[in-house]
Amino acid sequence: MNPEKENPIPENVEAGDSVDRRKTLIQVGKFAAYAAPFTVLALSKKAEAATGHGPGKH
Amino acid sequence: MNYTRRFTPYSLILGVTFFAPSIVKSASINVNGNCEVGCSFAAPLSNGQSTSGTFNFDYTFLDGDIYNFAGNYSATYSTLNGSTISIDPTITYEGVTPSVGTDTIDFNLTQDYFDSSCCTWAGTYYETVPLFLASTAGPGSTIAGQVSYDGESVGLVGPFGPGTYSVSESANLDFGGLDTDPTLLADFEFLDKFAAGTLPDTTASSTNATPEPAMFFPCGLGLILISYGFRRRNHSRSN
Repeated sequence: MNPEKENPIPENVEAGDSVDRRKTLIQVGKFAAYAAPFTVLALSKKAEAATGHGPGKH
Repeated sequence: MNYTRRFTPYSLILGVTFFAPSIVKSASINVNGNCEVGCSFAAPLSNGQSTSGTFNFDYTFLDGDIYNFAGNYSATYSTLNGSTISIDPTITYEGVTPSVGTDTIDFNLTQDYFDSSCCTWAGTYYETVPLFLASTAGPGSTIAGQVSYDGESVGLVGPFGPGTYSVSESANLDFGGLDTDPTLLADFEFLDKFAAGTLPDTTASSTNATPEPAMFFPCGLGLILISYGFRRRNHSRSN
């Protein structure tokens, strides 16, 4: 019996690892793409001026 | 052709009629009693009118110390919604060496409101006064601010030493005999004392960078959508 044919697991595991890693990278990339605009919005700031207000004549 | 010739002057007249009354430049800025912006007479703000502008000028003290004043201002008036006044001045010491003497700045933005309708200007008035003074100001330097209506202050904020502050106050103002007057004068005043030894480019301002409250809702919504998307994906995979 050919030992290489008996034990093909390492090749499959390696291929599976590569696919999983690629999927994970895609997921991370998608998450970053979704999260980036919200991060920018969260960090955005507005300038607060000195203000005064009161009632109209009544 | 004739139509165009007639239309142009009519549209100009209409434009002046409808837009000119709502954009009135009546605010004025004074430093230590010297008028710097809006010095010529302009009508006060009436119902539905507003004004806004920018300023950028230098002021030189007798001891030779020079300061730059820059920022934006605006004001509105509506009989129904009341009066507003807003300004974000930044004052910068322009000298190339530390300041020679103590420089006291009395900065005023004044704005008149006009309403001939009945009856009173009395009521609750509000102010929000953000203040900042750089730590490079000379020892003993202070900053303060307040808004007054017909000479009655909503509340003096400060004086504070170097640092960042933001104070909101309100006051019930009753103008007594002045109440029958159709005109109300708002005065946003900042009292800045730059002590001797203030370093070049030292700033004092009345503006703070604050997180945008309106952004909390879209941010929260986005996070909920992202977490929902991940949960849905994981759920469909497990099935």
